[in-house]
Amino acid sequence: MLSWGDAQPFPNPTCLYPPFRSACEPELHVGTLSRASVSSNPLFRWLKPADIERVSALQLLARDVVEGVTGGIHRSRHIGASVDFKEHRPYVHGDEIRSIDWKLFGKTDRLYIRQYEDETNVRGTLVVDQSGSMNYSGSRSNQMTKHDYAIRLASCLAYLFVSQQDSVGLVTFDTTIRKHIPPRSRPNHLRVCLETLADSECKGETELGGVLHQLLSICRKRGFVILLSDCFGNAESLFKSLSMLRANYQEVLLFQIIDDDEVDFPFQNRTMFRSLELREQQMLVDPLSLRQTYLANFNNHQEAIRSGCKQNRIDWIPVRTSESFSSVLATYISHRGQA
Amino acid sequence: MTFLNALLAFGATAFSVPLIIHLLNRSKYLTIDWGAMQFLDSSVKVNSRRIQWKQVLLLLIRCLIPVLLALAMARPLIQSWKDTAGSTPMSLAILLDDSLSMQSVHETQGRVGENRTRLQQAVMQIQKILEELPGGSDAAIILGGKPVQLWAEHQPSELAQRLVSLNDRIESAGRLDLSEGAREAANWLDKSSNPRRHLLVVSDFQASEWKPAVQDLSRDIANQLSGRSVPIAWSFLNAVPAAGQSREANISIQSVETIPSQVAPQGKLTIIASLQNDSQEPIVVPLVLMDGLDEVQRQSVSIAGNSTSTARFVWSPTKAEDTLLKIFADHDDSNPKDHSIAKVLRVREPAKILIIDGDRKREAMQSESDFVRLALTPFSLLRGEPGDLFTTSVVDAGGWNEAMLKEVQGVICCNLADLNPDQRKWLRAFVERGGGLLFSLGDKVQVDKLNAWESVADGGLRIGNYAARTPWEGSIKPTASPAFELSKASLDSLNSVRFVARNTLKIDESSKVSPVVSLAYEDDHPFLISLPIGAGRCFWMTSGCDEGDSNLPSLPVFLPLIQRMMTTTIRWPAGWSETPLGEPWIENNNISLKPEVKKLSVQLPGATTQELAIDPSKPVELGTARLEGVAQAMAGDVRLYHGFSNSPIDRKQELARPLLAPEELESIAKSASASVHSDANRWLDKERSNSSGKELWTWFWLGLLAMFFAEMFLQQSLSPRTAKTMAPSAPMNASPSSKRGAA
Repeated sequence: MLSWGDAQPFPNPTCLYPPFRSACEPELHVGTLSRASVSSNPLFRWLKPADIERVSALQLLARDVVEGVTGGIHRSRHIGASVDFKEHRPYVHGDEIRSIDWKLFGKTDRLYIRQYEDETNVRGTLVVDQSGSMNYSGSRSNQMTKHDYAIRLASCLAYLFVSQQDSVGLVTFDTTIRKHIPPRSRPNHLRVCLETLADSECKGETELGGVLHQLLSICRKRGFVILLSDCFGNAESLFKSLSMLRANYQEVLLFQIIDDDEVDFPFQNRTMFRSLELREQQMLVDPLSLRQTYLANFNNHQEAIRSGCKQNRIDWIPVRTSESFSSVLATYISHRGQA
Repeated sequence: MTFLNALLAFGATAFSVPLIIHLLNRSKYLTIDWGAMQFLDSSVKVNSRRIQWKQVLLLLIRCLIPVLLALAMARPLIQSWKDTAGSTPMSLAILLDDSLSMQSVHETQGRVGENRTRLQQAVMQIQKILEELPGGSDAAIILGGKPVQLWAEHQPSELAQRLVSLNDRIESAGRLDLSEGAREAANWLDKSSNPRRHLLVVSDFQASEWKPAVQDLSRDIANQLSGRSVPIAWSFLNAVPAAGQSREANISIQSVETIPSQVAPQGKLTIIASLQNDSQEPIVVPLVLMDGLDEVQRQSVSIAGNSTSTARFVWSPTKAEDTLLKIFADHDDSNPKDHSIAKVLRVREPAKILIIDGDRKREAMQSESDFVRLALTPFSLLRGEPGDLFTTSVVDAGGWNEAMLKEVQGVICCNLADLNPDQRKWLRAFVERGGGLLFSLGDKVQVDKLNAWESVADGGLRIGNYAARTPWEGSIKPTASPAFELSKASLDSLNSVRFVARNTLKIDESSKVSPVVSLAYEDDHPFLISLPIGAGRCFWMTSGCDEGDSNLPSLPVFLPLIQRMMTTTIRWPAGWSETPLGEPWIENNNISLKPEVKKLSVQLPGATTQELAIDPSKPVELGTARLEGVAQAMAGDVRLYHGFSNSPIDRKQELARPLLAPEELESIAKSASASVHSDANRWLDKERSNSSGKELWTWFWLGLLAMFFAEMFLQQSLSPRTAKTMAPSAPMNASPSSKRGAA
């Protein structure tokens, strides 16, 4: 099996960082970034050099072979134009004449066609939740909201896709799809995606099920759908839509981004909880008294998501905003590579 | 319910503190913008009611904690609590009657010859009670005889030991002072720490003591006892054995008097003792008079059944000193303490009186000084016998000097025209030293000159002219403030005095020294005025003592009047040296003691000898006694005696034999809401079965403890548990295998 690294050297990540750029200018692959735009480049807002370094050392390998147009490291079931010979097949009517192996015809007097193993690239669609609930940041999350965390994670993933010559698209949503950037694999495309992410803000309610349903019409070709959300909302409708995506030959990765506070509900004093999604919704409660029921509700929800993911063969990666997102990604991808 | 520390009960208002904290905390809350409202929403719906209950319960418990703490510290008491165990400690005040009647002897039933006085019986009963008191109890004994005495010891057992001394006591105290005793007991009980408080009155319930107005008294006391913050229960214990036989026969000496009341050595004294026979039978009793330890006279007195008789002893003291006289009936009966009586007779050398006569006549019994002399020394003048209280010497107006005044204790000026300046000075200095002066006015007096004398002017006196009295009939009478008392016979005699002439005497109200009018004419003009000058006293008489002015010298009142005036003005000691029980013994030591005496050793009845430093120039208080008997004070060869005794009325009532009938006692007890018991065991049984109050503080402490635990439990159940906090994070760190499974 060919490795992606062998086929094309991965760009030196340090070159993305301003101090090192002049030194590694000739090898700059994400070269669409001009000098003047470095300071305003959203990429640097979301990606720290250390994160980039760690992520770029990894390969994203799709478990299933995805059809691709351009050559890549991902094996395809389709047989096409390539350098790797696979087998001979008797000629049938309708086959291209240029694919006939004339040398073999000379030896055997029969018409055979040479078949090559095709290489595809991957179409990844990052689906980022921008509903109001993503705006929460707890005391243990280093001032990082769930949305910030999602953007960082999405940036890493987008970068990974682009650096693998795979194409990456972006969908942001709340109750409906807000923005849709179709997948491209050009390095310049990464900048577009990241700028879109950076300029977004969180507001409004979530309607995951509905949004994913809309996604069906966007993601017609096979590929990855990488969902970054806190998955608050109706789990049933979520999985209904997700199963339809799966049926549409989409591999789904669900990064569930949750704050520590939402997991263990550590509040003690009387608190007014104001909804981040609906401004008029607020309740003044004694958290201590509610805690047990809250935790039970939360755990039920998590269990529903876990079992739903297992049922639909979806990779469920629960992430807490207190964890380092790059290490979460690294761990996940290394496991996936082993698989 | 009452509280032993009622003030602390107000601490219960501290229940508002947690309430206020709660309300303040309610108004304070954090605001959090929250994403996961969906889990919260359903939690609120499910939990709110159950949680609210818990919260309210927690608040209630927190409010209860200070309330219970305050109540526990205030020591609440439930009155109606019946305590069958009877083991609650109690405070017991025992009011023990130790009056003379308690010395009556009873024969114990079945043990002929074993006799006990009522006091001994009472002591036995009290000892039994003290032994049986529950642990932690405290007790005090209030000796109820006047004046009341409190015996408070730390341990009931120590008190029981101290009680033994009462068994051997010879002397008795005064009459039972129920109200004072109860007050003393209540004061002691108020200070005690036990919630059960009881006053036990132990007495023989003598009718003469309890009957008159005692119902009102006991009702008042009952109200006073029950009105205390911690009410005091009370009951009566009869010290007279119910089954014991009292001897019916009893002879008692009720009183002893002397005629005359004051006496000098060799003076003849008649001692009259009054005896009472309480038995039905006539009886002949040998009556003995003792001078100190020597028997002086003995005579047999026969008294009819249930009657009184008097016996007379005629006796002359030989020395001028305090003489201890004892009269006792040599007879064995139910109360041996009541037929002996001891008295102290104060015998002094005759006082020297100088009579200065301004109008002395040659003929016998014509001058005023003759009449005065006769009044002062009747024995020696009429009979040629010794025994007069005074010795007299008569001089003319100019026939005396300062040296003569130093020898005498009293001076009488009769009808003096005037005094020269030296004489005025000498006489004033004499009175200021403490001497006595009687100034008898008359027709020779030069009013203007005498009015100028500073003793007259400063004393606020204005002497008027000598004038015939119209109408001349009329009498004199004592005023509201007499300087001395006269017998009824003398007073009757005073009414028959006819005055022919008199000087008027006016009192200047504005003067600093206020003279006292002792006798006055019926028209309210003063007859006799008492005027203090320095340490002495001067009497002014507006009429002379000769027959020219009035018929006074010929009347029986003349002798006692003149003698009384002189004994009063020179402070001649009283015949009997005695004070009622509880009153102080005050010794006018410039008469009784030598001036060089600086220290006295005093022994009071029922007490040990005490050394007492005295100032010889002032009257000194030598102490007081609550037991009948004779006190003595010694300094070198000087020996003073003083008697402490019941007043004659008290003694008479104490000697009355009848006791309250059981039904009378019951009715008194009922009106006083007390119970009557005939012996200690009955009382103890009653107390064991009925305790007057139960302290509840232990329950409040337990309640407080329970509330603390409940609070901790509730607080715990509402607070987050760390172990569970971590639980939800487990699926977050999903293992690779689970990932693989998902894939």
